[in-house]
Amino acid sequence: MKENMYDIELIEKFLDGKMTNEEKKIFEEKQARNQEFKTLLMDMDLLLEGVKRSAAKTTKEEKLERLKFYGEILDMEEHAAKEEKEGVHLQNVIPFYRKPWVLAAAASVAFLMVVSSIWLQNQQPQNEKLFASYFQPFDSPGSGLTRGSSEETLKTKAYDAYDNGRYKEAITFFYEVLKTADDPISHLCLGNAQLEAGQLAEAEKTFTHMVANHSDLVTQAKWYLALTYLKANKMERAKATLWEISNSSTYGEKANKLLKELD
Amino acid sequence: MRESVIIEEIKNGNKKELADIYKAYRNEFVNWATNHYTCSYEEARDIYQSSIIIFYDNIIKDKLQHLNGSVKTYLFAIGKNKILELRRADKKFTPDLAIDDLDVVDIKDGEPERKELQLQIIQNCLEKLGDPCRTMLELYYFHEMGLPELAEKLHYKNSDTAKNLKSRCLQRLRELVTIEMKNHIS
Repeated sequence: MKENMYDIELIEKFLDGKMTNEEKKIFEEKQARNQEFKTLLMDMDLLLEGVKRSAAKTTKEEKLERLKFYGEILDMEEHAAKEEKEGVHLQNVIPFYRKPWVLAAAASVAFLMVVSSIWLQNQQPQNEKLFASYFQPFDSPGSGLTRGSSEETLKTKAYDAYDNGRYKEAITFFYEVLKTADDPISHLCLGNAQLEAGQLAEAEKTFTHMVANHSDLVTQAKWYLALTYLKANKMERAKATLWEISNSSTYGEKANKLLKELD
Repeated sequence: MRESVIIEEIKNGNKKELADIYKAYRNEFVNWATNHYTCSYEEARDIYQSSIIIFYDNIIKDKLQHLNGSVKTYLFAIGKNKILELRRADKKFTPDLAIDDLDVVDIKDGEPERKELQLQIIQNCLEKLGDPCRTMLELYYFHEMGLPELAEKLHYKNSDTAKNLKSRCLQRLRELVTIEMKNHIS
């Protein structure tokens, strides 16, 4: 980062024509020998032109107003960080056994555990019910396309097992498929098979990976990720993920409906 | 509903409401981002600030008039998107390939069109980058505002903090533009 900051400063001076002889020497040396520096120089030239063009759309006063607002956010941060630090400090200096609220807290925790276990027992069947009414396995492209084909590739075997409800077998095949091709449809089918097989942690991992690494079928992945959270009783995450797709043309209606039922 | 009151209050300029929200979810967000997405503490804090700014902007611009869920759910969803955006950028960015080497336009379309498209992509990325980065970069490079002055406006103790922020912003912009150019090609 430090090296990068120095390079940026050097390039800024070069672009402004404000270099000393010493800096000019360093600049030329870097330009001749360092590929990363050369690309940074090319990028900076273009980026700064773009920044300037964007900046011309608003006045300096408007920008200063925005900066002032950010300054207020920084003040909020400073305040919150200070309180956080003071909280940690208190925890460090008062020995645990001398804290008067320890017993009260322990009693509260026990009480909360009883209450929440009762709540969870009631909540779980309700979530299961919602999950069952919203979950429909992703329709694999294998249906009708590969069945009966003489070409017994790994993918066709995976789709065949998936389409015929042999989910554990499908999971094994999809893992094999994904070793050689990072294919979003296979990821989506794998996650669905894991959901059907009750492997919730694995399904969560598969869909999260898709959302983070793919640009195709992301809405579908988010929908199934939300259902995975719902089944796993992770309600805040389920709601957050549903909210993300609530404007989507394909899943928006379903997501909004489910959100309302969860509220 | 409490959420609609919050939105109304913020829209009417009640910054105390925003400060209360900032404080209410800040620690939980930072813990969540560092535990679930292996963000550093600083990264998580920066993302939380950006999420708060987006939340505020959406209310002011009437993009957010009511919430289906809670403010917390909304903030965490924005934050999650920002984290994933950053992770994608980390993954796809290659420091030895210049933006200009990425052919965003077929050669027959010619050089001026190519440059125009590149500049358009940069402007879109600045929008995506959001504040404080966008404003900071524009004030520094276009209005030629010095780092000491920027530091003063942000109540920083010295201009080194402003310099760090400016470098981080430029780096993020560069990463975003590279990804957008690559997406444009594919």
